[in-house]
Amino acid sequence: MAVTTAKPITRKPPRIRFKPDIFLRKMALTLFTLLIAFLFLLPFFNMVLTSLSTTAQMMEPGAPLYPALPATFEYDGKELDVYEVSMPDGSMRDLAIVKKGRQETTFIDPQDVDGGEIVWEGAWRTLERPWSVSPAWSNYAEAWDGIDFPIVFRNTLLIALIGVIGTVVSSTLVAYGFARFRFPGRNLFFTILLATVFLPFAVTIVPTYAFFAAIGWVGSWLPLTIPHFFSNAYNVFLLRQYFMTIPVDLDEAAGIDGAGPIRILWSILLPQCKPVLLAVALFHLVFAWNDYFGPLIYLSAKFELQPIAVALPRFNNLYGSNPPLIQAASLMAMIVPVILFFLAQKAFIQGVVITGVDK
Amino acid sequence: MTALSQLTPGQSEPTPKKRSRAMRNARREALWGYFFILPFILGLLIFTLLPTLATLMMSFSDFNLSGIDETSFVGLLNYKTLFADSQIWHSLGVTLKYALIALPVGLIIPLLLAIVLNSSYLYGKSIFRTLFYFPYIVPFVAAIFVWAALLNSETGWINDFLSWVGIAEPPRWLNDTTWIYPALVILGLWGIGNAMLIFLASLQGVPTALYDAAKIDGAGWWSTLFNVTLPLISSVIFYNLTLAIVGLFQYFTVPLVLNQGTGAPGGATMFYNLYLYKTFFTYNDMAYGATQAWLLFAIILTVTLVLFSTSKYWVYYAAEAR
Amino acid sequence: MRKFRFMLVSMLLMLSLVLAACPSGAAPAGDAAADADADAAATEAPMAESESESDDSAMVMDGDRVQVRWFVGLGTGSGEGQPEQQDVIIERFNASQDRIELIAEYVPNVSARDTLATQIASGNGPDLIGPVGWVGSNAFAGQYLDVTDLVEVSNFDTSAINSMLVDMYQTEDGKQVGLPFLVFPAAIFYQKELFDEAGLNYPPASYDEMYVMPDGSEVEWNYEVLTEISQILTVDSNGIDATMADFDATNIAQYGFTFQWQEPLPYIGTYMSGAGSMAGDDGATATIPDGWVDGWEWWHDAMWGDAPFAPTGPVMQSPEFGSGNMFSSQKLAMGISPSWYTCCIADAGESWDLAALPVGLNGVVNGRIDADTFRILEDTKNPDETFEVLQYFLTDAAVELAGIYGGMPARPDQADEWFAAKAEQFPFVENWDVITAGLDYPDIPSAEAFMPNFNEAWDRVATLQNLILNEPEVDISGEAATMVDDMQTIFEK
Repeated sequence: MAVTTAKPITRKPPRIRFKPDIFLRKMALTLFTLLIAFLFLLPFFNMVLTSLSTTAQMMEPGAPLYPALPATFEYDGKELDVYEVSMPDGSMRDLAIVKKGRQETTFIDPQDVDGGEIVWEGAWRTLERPWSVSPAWSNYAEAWDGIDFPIVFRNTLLIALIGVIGTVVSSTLVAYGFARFRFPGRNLFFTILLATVFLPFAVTIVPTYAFFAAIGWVGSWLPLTIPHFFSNAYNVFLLRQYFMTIPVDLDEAAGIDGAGPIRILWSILLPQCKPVLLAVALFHLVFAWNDYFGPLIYLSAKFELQPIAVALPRFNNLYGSNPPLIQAASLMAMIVPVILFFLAQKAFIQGVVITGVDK
Repeated sequence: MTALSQLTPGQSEPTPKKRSRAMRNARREALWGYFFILPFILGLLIFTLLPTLATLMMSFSDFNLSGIDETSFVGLLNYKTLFADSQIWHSLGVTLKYALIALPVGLIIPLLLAIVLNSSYLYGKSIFRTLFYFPYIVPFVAAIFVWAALLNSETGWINDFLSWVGIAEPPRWLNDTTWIYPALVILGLWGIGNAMLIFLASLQGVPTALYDAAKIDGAGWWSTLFNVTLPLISSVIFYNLTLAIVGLFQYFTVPLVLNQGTGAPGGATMFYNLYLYKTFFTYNDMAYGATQAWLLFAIILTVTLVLFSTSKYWVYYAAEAR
Repeated sequence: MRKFRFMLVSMLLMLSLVLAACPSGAAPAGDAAADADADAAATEAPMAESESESDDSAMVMDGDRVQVRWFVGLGTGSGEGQPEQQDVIIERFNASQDRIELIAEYVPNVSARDTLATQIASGNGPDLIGPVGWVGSNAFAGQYLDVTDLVEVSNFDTSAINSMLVDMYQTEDGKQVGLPFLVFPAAIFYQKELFDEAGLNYPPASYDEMYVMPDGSEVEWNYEVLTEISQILTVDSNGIDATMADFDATNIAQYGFTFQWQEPLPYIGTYMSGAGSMAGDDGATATIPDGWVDGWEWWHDAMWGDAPFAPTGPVMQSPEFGSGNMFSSQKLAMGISPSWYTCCIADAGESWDLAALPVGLNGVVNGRIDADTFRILEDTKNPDETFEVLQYFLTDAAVELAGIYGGMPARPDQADEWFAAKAEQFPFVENWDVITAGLDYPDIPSAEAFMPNFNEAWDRVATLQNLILNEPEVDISGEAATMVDDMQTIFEK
């Protein structure tokens, strides 16, 4: 198949005419993709439904999918479970269980307590229970308090923002250096910069940790924020590529007018880079929101300084027996980055594209 | 500033005066250059070079954080222990088993999705693009708990569905030593948004003229894919592949959060990096951990070098202006 | 439009920052106190007086007070509801004097060991840890302060404590690295209602008592009988129990028996076949004591066999069965556990009781006694103050703490008070004597005895345990042999 021949191909733009088979194809593909998307996002539905249910519902066999509670009846100071029992005359009555037995069970009728006990033959475990819709909104309040959400959120935000400032400033400076200046060893240094991507963090983690422990920074946010002030390989690469697409003419003109390099950077280049800078900031924000290992080793003792990535698993350990609470907390953990994304979609996507495609 | 250091037009031969000024300019430019990359240099020194060297030194000693004064040189002893430690080989095996599923899934699925999203037969492309990308933003710890609930072998929706379609004994996912790997891959599914987007963007960069040419030559959908699309985006595939491999060898935070680092079920999630983390931070055996770290580095380096050297055979760079 | 979006995003960020910063106030540590009181599980120590940002080293003086950091979670103490009760004691202690400020850190048990290891490794260790049993202590063996001198100087009276217990805490070189505080003998916890439903007699309430089978015969209460009873008590969703032909093992609604939070293999081995150390008689040879593999095989069969009556690993973890806390899901008829389990039994209803442990595979009753104590770390910067806190815990606050942790005080005079408190907490329980009787069946050597490179060795055993819990087909003796080899390698590191 000769792909390289450049035959002059003139095509007219397709006529806008309703073609049934094209339409069907489109519908089929769209529906198929919709199904895939639905499966992909299934956990969200599960999460919302679970976060509104209770452990009582989760422990009861035959529970419906929607948040609901099985019926109970209070009698003689005890709470009795209510079951749907089929009576000899064919009807179904909701009866409260008094005494469970393998072959026969004793019930009473909540509507007719004085009618006495009803003995029913059969296995009570095969009976269904009447359910009523009951979303447990209180789970969110409980999770909010339990995980101490305001504090945790504040921690995450501050760590992220300080890091954003650090990485944007330093990566811009370094990228500017690589993009606009010639100096001996430039290519070597740039290659080393790229090579650091392949260095497993395991090789540097212990001396770094020991270093921070020695200067007393362990237990604070400093080890999580200060290193970002020394630039980051991905961001430098991204910014450098972007700088290189900006023609040097303006730089030269400003230089002739007597502007120093810093002035050129600030007044000429940066204004043209706003989308990329925003992308860098957003990427780091998401990274910091997600960063688990750093906070784990540096903040394990300081619960009040932990960001959400570490607070959530700790919450899970404490409340492992209450899945609805865990799901409520997880929802709270993810809501902010998601909202942020929806607001700044274009910037995100642009940033990803520039980073990934220009290789 | 490159313009300033070039010869001004009209001059054929630099006079001594011009040449020394050029040299001065060049030096000034170089100094500015060094100034601007200073953060990188400092960071490289403090956070990369020195720690790497220190770790290397540690691997030849019996360093331990609680007995720093008694550190002594032990030569290759740690490395001998390393190669005799069955847990290391087991962990490498675990990583490999996971890679076998994760790597193809992590590359093929985003690619397929991107192709679908790039198709002209799709309505609402930008909506789908957002839908498939945004779970990537979700903090992975939250994603773990959410997917783990789905994968619960007793009450999760996945097994409910499987029983409903008639599979008598659905896999026990997170509790099964074989099915844990697909389960982990499923847990990581939300992360494919990034790769998908990159593929999508590169697909959109393929000139339609080529597709038309292929159609005229009578190419079907399948051969267009293999002979036009894939070669043209091979540079992006290469980029994603390299990043995926490097990330794969360092994969451990998910099992750490999922099972508190116990390597459950039955040691099947004791990834190399997880074992390394435990050696460092639970067993406090710093010197041995350093040895493990260097072995990891060697492995990653080798694989990357192999990948790079084979790249010239299958990677096609469209814009070879570099 | 893009500019507008950009502004919106930045304003949103700043707004959330301001909002988040507002309620938390100036000091991160202090304000969480207000929230924490209302929580189900406080994660900071709510101290009315403390507003200081606690430094990494313990030598921070807050005003004139010396700070003593207390790490809770290696043993019990950080379960639901416990931190608040301990905070009450802490507040009382701090209010009773003005030289020492006690601050507690509550860490969930599953991550306590790792968290503490990281703290110690970074030179940021606490002063006091506890309550902690042997596993927790062994994980940090060699890092505890020898309190002999402190005991002498302060004239702390150890004579009131059973000398055997005091000796338990002496190391080979005569160092007194702990003082006995609480003992938790094991017993069977069982649900009366489930026995009633099945028409069975309750398990024996005292040792040497016979069990009466449904047909009226009296038999010895051993694991064989327990198996039969448990199978009757294991019911599927149709009400058919495990002894019947059409029992549906994929749809079990209720189980008969399990080792509640006692799944570590040394524990199961001890219960079923007698105490032993996995480090051999010399403490450095990896061994599996006699009969333990048989016990493990019985256990595996109980979960995965043809007539299962114990929940498997996946079932135990599922939310349907209490996410690990099986007995409290009320779908378990019997569970063996040390008495500290009363910490976490709140959801188990109001008709459970205690019974005697069965006779083991080796023909005698094999019990376990978890012994908890508090330990002072060697690196503490305030040994005297920390010892003072320790004394307070062992004397004035002893009974109260014992109540919170569910253990019997090691001092006999305090034990009666403890039982009274328990009877008030669980008025429907009749057989508290079983716990006292359990003191006669200790596991010596302890199932948690020290092994070289304890953490790693313990983890290696946990791997086999995990396999048994999760895999239907396991060659247990084969895997055990591999485990012994691996452990020997670990011992020699």
